[in-house]
Amino acid sequence: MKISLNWLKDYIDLGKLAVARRSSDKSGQSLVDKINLHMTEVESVDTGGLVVGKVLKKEKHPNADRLSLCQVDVGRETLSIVCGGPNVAKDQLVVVAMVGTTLPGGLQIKEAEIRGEKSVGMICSEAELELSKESEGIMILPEGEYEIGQNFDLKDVDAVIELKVLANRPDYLSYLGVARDLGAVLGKEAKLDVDINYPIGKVKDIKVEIDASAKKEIPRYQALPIGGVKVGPSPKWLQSRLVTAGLRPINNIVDVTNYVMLETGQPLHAFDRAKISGDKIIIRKARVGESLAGLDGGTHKLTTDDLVIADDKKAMAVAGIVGGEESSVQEGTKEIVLESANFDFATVRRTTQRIGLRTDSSIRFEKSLSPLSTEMAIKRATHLIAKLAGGEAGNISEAGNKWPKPKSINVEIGNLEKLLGLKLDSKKVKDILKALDFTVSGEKKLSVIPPHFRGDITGEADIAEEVLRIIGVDKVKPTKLKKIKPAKRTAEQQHVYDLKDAYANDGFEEIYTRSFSSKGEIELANPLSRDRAFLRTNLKSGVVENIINNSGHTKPPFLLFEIGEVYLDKSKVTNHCLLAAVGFEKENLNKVFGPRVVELLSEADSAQSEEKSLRGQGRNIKNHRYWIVEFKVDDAKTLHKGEFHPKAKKIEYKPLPKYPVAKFDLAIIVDDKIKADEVIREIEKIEGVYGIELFDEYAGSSIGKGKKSLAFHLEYFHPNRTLTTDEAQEIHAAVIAVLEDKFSVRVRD
Amino acid sequence: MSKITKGSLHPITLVKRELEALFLGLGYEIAEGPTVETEEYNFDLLNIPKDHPARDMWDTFWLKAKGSRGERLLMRTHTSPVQIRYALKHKPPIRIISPGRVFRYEAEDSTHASDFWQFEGLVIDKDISVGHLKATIDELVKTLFGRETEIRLRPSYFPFTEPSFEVDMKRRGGDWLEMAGCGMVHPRVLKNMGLDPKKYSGFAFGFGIDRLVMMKYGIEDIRHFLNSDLRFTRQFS
Repeated sequence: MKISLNWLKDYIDLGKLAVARRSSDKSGQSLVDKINLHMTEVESVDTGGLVVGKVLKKEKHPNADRLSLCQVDVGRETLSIVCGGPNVAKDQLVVVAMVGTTLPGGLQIKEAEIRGEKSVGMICSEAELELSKESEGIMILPEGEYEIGQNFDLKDVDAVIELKVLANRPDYLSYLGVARDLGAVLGKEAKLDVDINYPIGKVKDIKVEIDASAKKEIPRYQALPIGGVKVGPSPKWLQSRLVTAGLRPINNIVDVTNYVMLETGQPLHAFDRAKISGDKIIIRKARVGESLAGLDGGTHKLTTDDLVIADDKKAMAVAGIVGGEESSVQEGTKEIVLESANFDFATVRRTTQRIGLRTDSSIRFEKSLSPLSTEMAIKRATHLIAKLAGGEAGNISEAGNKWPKPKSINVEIGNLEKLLGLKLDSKKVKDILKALDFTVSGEKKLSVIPPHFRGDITGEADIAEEVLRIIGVDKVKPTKLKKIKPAKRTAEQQHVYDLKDAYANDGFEEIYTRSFSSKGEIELANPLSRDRAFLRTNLKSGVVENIINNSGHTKPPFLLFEIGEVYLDKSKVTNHCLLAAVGFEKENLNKVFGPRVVELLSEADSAQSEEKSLRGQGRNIKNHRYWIVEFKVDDAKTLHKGEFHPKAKKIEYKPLPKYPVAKFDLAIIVDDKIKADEVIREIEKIEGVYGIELFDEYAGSSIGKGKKSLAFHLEYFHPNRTLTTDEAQEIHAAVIAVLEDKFSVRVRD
Repeated sequence: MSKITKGSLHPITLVKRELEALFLGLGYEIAEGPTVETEEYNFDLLNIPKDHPARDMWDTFWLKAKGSRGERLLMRTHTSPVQIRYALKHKPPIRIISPGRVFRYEAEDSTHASDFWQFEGLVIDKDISVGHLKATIDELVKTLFGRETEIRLRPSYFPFTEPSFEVDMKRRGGDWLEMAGCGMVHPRVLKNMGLDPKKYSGFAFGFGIDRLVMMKYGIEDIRHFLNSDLRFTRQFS
């Protein structure tokens, strides 16, 4: 939910609270911190583009005497800004309007070229920010109070914060709900009593009837006719508030229904009364084969499980989800019927899933709204419609009105303290709950009735959460659990652990491959792609894919192993182990991998095994052979014990190249006192070098006395694209030049 | 040809082992369970009933086949069903961790995986409080990221815990980064475990191992884990 701060301030006084601060700023909590720590996550903050910057450099503009060219650090980046203020100077803290900002006076900041110099943003004066009537130069902020890059909070430049929607808090999908909670957090009273008065005139009542088929799904339906309205565009303030929330302004009637939905959380709908056949609104299940052309532009085929709002002839809306095109309010509409209703959350949710349409209305209903919220919302909307579109209202008609009374919850302060690990003051607890509109009585043992719009509160644990989040989770002191004796892995878990150690010690490299495959026994009902539609029945197919991929860039020989689940049928899941040796001829297996590996690879005689060639599996892949053996983990022989120790040195992760690398070989002759490592370190520094492998080091009479030969496989890359041949050659030439310069090497042909 | 001398373990295995070593030392057993689960264990018993909007928090791979009693089957979306299965078989005090593979029906990109690893923990005993949860999470983060690492808990919502929190970890540079979810086991979940919520309380926590490894080493793409590119895996052993 996007919350405009200017709008929020209609309901709560935020005082001088900053919208957001940088996390390094310890001077106090901002509004964003308060919401994050006491309510819900703030997913994004847009403060209207005013940030605090520091002038790093000021030079005279080359083509204009009165202008300066400034380099301004705004935290994320350093901007070049042309500034006309005579007082601008190095090291000042200033307010920068970023590109895209609209200043209070309406000036929009764009990237510009001023007398031949680029200017990205604007350094503001007090007058431009409308903080004073006039000003002689730019506004300079005092030292120590601001940090570079922090948002500069200005009353008239609106800030928008986006709150994470929690599935149990539909009240956070409304300004009043957010303001109420914020009031409790800030210890301030929110002004929640919005104006709901409206003029009443002679307008014919509309009847409402809930069909027997829909009694259970409609706790409450209210309808109110308003006559003599003049449909037209909404005023600018209303339009801009809707746009902030991501809604498109339509006309004053529709806009008011959306506005009141955002304000109160209760979705509303307006029908053109002239398009209602008969004098009755009927809420019923859809009929077999019924469909509705919705305001979203789609035609929705309905089933007898879906709820519709209908007249005596046709469906006019899918309840709680979307209104129909035909009965919608348009230019020329004279009389409307406002709907404010409560629909069963599960029914709305199932229908949205079936027709594939989620709307601002449905996301509220599916979180379960209170039937008691409908009346205030319909009155509020009528107030605004009368104000903006004229007209007079008739009487509210109502059907349903069956809902459970909120139950009282017994809460013992002692129980809350035990669960939270926090000493609580009974009065404080009561004050918090009252600030959140709970009804509370008692002292140590409280009787608590949650407000009607907090259907999520059903027990003591829910109360504990309310109290804790308002007090602050940071107030709970960490307590260590009682010490008990260490636990051990089960025999099966230890077996897998030991297997992994043994294989790694024998030179195998562990890989994991995907659980889904193109073939298998168990099929997914909703696969992401056809080649991953089944649960794998072996590890082999995934590992072969891996061998092919790895052989494209990593030169065999290498050994791989994977341990993971395979799915033979839904009740038979087995842990498999697979060993693979890539890049050898059978006769020199022993020489390449050592006798231990040969033993491992041949010991599982009964297991599936195969030997294949990589020929034809892709470019750059030589005709290597690979050998695979797959068996059940339970069948793995007891291996020699011995822990595998990964290298202890600090790991500095190097991202993989996103694009193919260019491969080169380089053989050099160098003084034999120079260590290969020194050479590698020099090559590493050169831009564009990705991989370096020393594959040969040789000293002999053919090289010359006091000299040796070093041979490298080198890989070059570009972070954002594939290197061209010329670029790769350039990097290679740079490598040679550096080595010639540093080590006086001679390149061998 | 050069002779191969030493192999390597996958970074997921290495970090999982680091976490397991910590929790085994604190007396937590390692509990495992099926990756093909029933709707009941993956959702219903965890207080996520059908048609509840909270189900949107877990996009699910469903299987075509039904279970032996005709129940809907799915790929587990978290290892929480292991907690239920374990608690139904063991009496408190309970201290378990449940690492394992989980699945989400989600388009893959550099930060989203559909097949990944999760690590959860569960403690149930008399008088377990938010204070115990806090100390446990704190120890976990400090073990993995260094003793000076700061954490904070923020209020949140999960159907199976009440109160519920998100855990943030402070990065160098001062920004907070979300790393785990946790909370006090919901009384309805305790009941579903066959326990009396008046007598017992507990906490649970969970996070993606992949994401944690990414945070630890600054890895840019979650897909590296299952692609198992040797240029990637070799950097960790």
